[in-house]
Amino acid sequence: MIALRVLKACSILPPRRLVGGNKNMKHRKKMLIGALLITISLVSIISPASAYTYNGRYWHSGFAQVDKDSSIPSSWSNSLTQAMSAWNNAGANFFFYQIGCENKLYYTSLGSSGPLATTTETYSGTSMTKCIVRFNSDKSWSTTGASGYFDVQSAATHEFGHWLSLGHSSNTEATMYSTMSTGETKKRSLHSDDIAGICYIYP
Amino acid sequence: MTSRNNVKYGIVLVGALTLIVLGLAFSNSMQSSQENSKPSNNIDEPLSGSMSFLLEEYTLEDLSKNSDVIVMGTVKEILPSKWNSADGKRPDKVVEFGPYDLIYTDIIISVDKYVKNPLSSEEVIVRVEGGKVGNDTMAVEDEPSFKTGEKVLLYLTEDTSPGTKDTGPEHFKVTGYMQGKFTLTDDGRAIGWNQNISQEELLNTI
Repeated sequence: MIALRVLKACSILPPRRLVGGNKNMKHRKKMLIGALLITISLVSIISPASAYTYNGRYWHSGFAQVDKDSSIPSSWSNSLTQAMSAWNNAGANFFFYQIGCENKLYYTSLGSSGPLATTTETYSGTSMTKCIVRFNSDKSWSTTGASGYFDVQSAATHEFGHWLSLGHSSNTEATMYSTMSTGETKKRSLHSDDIAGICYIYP
Repeated sequence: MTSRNNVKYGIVLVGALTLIVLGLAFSNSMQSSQENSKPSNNIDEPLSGSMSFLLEEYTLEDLSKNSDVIVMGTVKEILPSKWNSADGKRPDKVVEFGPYDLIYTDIIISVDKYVKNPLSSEEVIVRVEGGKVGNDTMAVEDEPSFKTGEKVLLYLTEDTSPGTKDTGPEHFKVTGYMQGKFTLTDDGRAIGWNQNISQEELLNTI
């Protein structure tokens, strides 16, 4: 609609000079090209391209059971629950719930040069069959977002995104972006790109 | 009055019982649905898995500081993938990828130049997690990929991963996974996972 208005406005612009019609035509062309560029910009702002990636598998049951291994610090419970809630409240037909099962969260050594956390998925065809998350005990963690420490809730929200079969997003603001700094807490809250991802997989 | 109360209590009791029965049925159906999708316990079945990481964000300066060795070189050979067992095959009783049961791939880099901490060797082995052994496949999202003949600048670090550090020959890991690999082009560019800068600019940060 905006685009049509812009084009219409351009088409009814009266010639500024009666003399020098050629110049006037050039001016009109420039205006038209300008209008087109504005239209393209507006369209790209209104409907940004999705940046999430989907690994092509999903929990056919529409839910995933999660269990904490005894290695997980008890002080992390609330952060982990909040991380699951973020995805449970995203408006998709999927939910996590905590119960004794084989899909476990561990706090274990992954090496000082290793990742902050990993999710290992086992699958059969398109069916996710098991997920394990390991938080690296060789890194420094905090549940409060303290500077100099990695935030538990942010990391857990990211890893639970992998449980849904989401890969990494190219959007640096998304929870599913692949890297995280100390003190960073923005991954706690889902970005619209993350929500688009879960809603695509579990409509 | 008493009979009215009895009716009320009856309705409450029936309602409570119904809720309990429905709750149990729902819980059982969820349990059985999840059990139906459990992996097979047959070790002859092909195993498919994937691993995704959350990585510490590194600047170019961080990469340099956290690397034991930095090399410029050429990908000479990509060796066949192996399980991290003594014989390189899937260990008995392993029916799924676990914390310490995984597949890795070694890559031989022919070193043209050591940019940090020169070694005497003309080749280094770089190990990435993931690969295919027989019918078993493990995909890893954040490891760098390599092509034979590719010119690279690699930030390398000692392998501290419990799953791979003690297996096979002496080797390195790429610092920060995909963050520590740059493809070098003939026109002087260095192409990383999320940036394309001049080789000169990259070398100035080391």
